[in-house]
Amino acid sequence: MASQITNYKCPACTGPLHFVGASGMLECDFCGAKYDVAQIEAMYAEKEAAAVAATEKAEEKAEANRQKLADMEAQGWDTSSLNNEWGAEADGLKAYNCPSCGAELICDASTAATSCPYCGNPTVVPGQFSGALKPDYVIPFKLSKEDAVAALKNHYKGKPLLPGAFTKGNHIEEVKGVYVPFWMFDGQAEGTVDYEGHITHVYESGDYEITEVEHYDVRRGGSIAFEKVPVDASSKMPDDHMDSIEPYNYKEMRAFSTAYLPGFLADKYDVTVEQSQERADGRCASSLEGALRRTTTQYDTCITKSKDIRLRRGKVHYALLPVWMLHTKWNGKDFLFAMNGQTGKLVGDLPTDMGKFWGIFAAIAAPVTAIAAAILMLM
Amino acid sequence: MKKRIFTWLLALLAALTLVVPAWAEQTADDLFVYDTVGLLNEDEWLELEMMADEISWRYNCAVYIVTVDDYEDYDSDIHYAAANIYNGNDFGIGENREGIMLMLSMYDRDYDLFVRDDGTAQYAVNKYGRHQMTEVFLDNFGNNDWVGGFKDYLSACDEYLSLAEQGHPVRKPLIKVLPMALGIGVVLALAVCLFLKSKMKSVRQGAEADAYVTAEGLNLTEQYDRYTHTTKTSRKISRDSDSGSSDHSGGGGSSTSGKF
Repeated sequence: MASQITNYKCPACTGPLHFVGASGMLECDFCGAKYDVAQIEAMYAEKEAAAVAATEKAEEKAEANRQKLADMEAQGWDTSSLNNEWGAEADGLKAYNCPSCGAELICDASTAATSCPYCGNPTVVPGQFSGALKPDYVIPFKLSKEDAVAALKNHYKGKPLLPGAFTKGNHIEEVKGVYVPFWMFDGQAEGTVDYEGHITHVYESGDYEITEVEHYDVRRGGSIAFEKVPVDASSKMPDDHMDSIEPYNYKEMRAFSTAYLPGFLADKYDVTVEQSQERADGRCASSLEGALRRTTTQYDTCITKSKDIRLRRGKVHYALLPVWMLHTKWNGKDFLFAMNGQTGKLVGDLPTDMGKFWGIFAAIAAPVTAIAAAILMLM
Repeated sequence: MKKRIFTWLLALLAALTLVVPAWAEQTADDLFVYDTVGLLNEDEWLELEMMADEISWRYNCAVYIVTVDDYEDYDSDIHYAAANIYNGNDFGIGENREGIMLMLSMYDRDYDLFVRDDGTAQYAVNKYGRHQMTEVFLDNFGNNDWVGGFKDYLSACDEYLSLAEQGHPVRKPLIKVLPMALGIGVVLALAVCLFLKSKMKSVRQGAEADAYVTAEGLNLTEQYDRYTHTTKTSRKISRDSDSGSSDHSGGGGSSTSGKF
């Protein structure tokens, strides 16, 4: 299981390098040196290839160890308590040695960048983004952990139904900067929608109110092209959170490089294109329907009778997008918040204090009722 | 003879209307009952005139009775017809020209109860008061009992002005307004609270991909609109009150009008 991992070290002092969103450069915590991403990328291209080879070598070594254990058993040593069988779990786990302190790290098979829990050294797991798994794009983090914490505090403001104890008593359990894998779908939606359109005229004639409704058969057909519709490709990330922090500014999208990853967590996809495309298709079809409906504004009401929407699927891109995940606990319940690491848009459902709800209800209902009664009596 | 005197009084009123300056107001010599149609005989007119005169000066709020052949001679809208008669003849007592006027238009049997705004009259007879007051005379007029109807009207004015003077004007009882007031309070409070509750939820599944549409936007290839038919429905307009009356305001007063 054990395999080698690489980390980006400062060429000047060998301290660990982190990608800093604000400067867009890799920075050394120890000597403060700053390096351009492309510069470090070139320097480490060779090292990364070597690390992949080392990983394969480590696998071979592990196999040799297993053989050795079998031999020991044959020589009469009791190794029954050593469990060599990982079962189904082995498929989902990987073990690495921290290049800084040597600790063995076991993490999810989809983890591509992480940090050592013992020494905090930022590391990138080689081989995770090689070949067909290599992302096409990455949007680097622009906002820091401090920005995420400040945004969460700001999220609590202007919410009178938030329990007072939640803001006072709750502690942020965890703040993680994660590069979340996304599939980005290009494509086109085309089709036709049939409506029944109504134009209503109301007028008075004597003591009667006359309502005339003109009925129309309405048909609209057309197409819309979409570019890079994102669908998160990580089963660990809640889809609704990821949808809610959209959109990202694609103008700042860069060709993928692992040099953007140090200092953050990164996952590779574990949801396939086939599993994700249904969500992208649904969103594109809805957008076409909405655009066609917006061409029927001359009608007061338009009821959909039938629709025929087809999707022409185009290219699929693989990208890593920056997300700050914040986790809090309150009253034994988990609350998860997600912040767009590029734009700062933060989402997360908050608990409602029903006591405050009914208190505000009464505080509004009572005076309004009294004022309304007084006005009605004076009329 | 009596009829001649009455006609002479009306002619005098018309003449005065032309010469009275804009700031003129009701004086002790002026009349309160103008029966231009001739529904009343002289005794009846005199009795009503004395009654109206006594009430008007007791409360310093003139109470008028006016009958006309057709209100449309004054304005196409009955409320403005009443307002034109009231303002055109400088009706009212005091600086604010306080007064209440009941006008009957005989051509289509219309009535209008006009109350001068912003003063004692409006304080004593508000919208609810006007509706309540019409209830007391409409049955008489429906039976062509003109004197009975006018007496009921003047008695009601006396009662309403008296109650207002005591600081207890006729108002809609709390029990009648409470359900509607409670409804308004509950709906408004619920709307505010549900809005605040909706702010607690910010996580939603993405339903559309509008942000990812290319610069070309929608390419509309088919557009077809065909008229098929028209449907027509009619509904009888229910007026403010169950007696078929309606309310208006403007021209310095508010009124309730309808048929008798």
